[in-house]
Amino acid sequence: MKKTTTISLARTLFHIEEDAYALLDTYLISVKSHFADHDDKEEILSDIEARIAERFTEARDSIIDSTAVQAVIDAMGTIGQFDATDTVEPVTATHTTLHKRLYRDADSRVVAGVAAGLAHYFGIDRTIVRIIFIGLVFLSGFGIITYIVLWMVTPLAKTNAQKLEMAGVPVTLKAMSEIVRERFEEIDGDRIAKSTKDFAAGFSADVERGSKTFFATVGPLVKVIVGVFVVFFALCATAGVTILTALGLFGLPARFFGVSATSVLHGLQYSGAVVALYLAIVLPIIVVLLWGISLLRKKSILNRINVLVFGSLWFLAVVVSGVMVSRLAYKVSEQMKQDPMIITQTISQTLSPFVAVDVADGKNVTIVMGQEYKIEYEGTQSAIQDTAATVQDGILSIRGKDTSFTRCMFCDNQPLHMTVTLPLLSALIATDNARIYGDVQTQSLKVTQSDSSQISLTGSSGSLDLNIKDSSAFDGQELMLQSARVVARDGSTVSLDVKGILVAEAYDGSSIEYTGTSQAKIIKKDGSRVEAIESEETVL
Amino acid sequence: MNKDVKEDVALAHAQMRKGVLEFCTLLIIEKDTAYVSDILKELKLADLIVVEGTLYPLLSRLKTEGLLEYTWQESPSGPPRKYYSLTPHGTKQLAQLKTIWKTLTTSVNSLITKSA
Repeated sequence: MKKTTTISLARTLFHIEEDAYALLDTYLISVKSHFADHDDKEEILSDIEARIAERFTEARDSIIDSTAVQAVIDAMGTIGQFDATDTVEPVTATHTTLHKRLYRDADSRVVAGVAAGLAHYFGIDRTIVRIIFIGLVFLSGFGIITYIVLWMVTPLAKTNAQKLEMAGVPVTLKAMSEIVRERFEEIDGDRIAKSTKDFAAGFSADVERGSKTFFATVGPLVKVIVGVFVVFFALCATAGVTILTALGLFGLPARFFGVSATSVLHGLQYSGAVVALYLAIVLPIIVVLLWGISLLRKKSILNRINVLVFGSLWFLAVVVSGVMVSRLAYKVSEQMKQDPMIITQTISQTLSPFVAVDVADGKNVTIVMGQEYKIEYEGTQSAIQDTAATVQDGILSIRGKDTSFTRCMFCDNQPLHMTVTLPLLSALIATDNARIYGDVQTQSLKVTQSDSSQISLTGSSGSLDLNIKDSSAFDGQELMLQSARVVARDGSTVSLDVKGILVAEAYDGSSIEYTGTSQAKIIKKDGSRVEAIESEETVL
Repeated sequence: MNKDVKEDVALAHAQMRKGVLEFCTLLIIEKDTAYVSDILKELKLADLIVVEGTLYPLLSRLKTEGLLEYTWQESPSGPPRKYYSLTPHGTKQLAQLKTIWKTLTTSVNSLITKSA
């Protein structure tokens, strides 16, 4: 059994076995190259083709085999015989074969085959030429202009003879056969029909596959550029979505609007929902990615099966994630109505006596002077439950119960606000991002601050003993002081208003600003700053 | 030795054929308008041509020199054919060639007779 193909010779169709076709193709290409420089080559070639067609017709074989082709070749003579026997024509076809010529190589092109052609001409690897071109592009675009000029002036190697010339191989029948055999081995059934068509067209007209003009090739260049961008962004998007999904699966944002997703969707359901949501988003991106790759490879890799698989998978993913999301949304709306994380309330609690307040864990406390000892909470139920206020040894400690970081997506993080009322204040301690605001009236106040805490006081105090460190801040510009002693460390900032004596020590990039006094004793080290600034009262 | 002589003879034969191919082609066409197959048939009968491929460049040159012209005619089977005929210029040139040939054969024949 032999595969046959159909060819058109002198507008007549013939069925020909594939090996016979290869033989005929090789022969015709050799003849073509023999007459390549002849003024009348087209006519001679079409006459020869017509004669071959006539012989095939006379033979009346339904399918032409290699024996028939060989008989025709024997009768017509090989190009070697043309020269040796009865030719009266000057042999012109071989004189150009001794030296290389610069052509563009369409077979291994990226844009128009200029670089590949140059590589053939200079006998170096085409990758090197391409790297040089790209390098020149970055040198103020010189490479692009060079490339376009070379593109326009260099002919494309269309015929096999020209391809041999490009490579500097003498144009002989043997070398031709080599090319044809290589080409024949790499083509599949689909392309035989195509090359057959070309073959017929190539003999009668100049138009050949691959003989694209400058402007016809700009399209593919744009495609390549678009392809690079599409592939790049699709890859970024895929990576981003994948990372987010991995975080979702392995625990990160498990709460939506204050509702734990895992409390609505249990175990596998939750994983399934995340995977479905992931696929619903990522599949279209992958299709775009494949499209981009297709643009780059000049061959579509999006076949019907791919699209069908992707399409049905995507549909399934959309349905599943739709169901899951609507279930979650329902639960969210239900729980919104009774979630302790959302409902705010005010609770007042009377406390045993204390003179000092110690705040930690990012809590937010306002201090006011009053006749009773009490604390007032204002915030969500869960935030209130998360807070403990205890009095021990005359110190009110305000702490978080559960100090573990709770992750919540779209949670309404209203801060809990606490107001502490007491008749007499003597000390304040603020650690761990605590914030204390206060309007105080006292004789002496001792303040200790650490770990990025902030204190802002108004009112008045006889004396202030402030010990502040770890990038904390103390704002006492509206606090009237008779005297103050300040030690600031590690980039902390302090501002004060002192009537009497100020003893200020600043270390390690801390800064102390003060108004009001001329009796200041200052120590500063390691880029710290202690400065008197004009108070507004003085100016006025 | 013998082989070399044979090759020399073959070469001389080829040279002679080359020399008269153009002349004979014109003669065949003069007789009647002819298409390539007719011409080839006659040339082969006269053992004047070995491979067909050589005729095409010859016809092309004769046409370019204005000795031949052709017309397309439908063929009973297959594609249309080119029928070649002599131009007036071709006829004139052929007449000269005939004269030259006659002189040439006379000279050659007389040389053969003399040597024999």
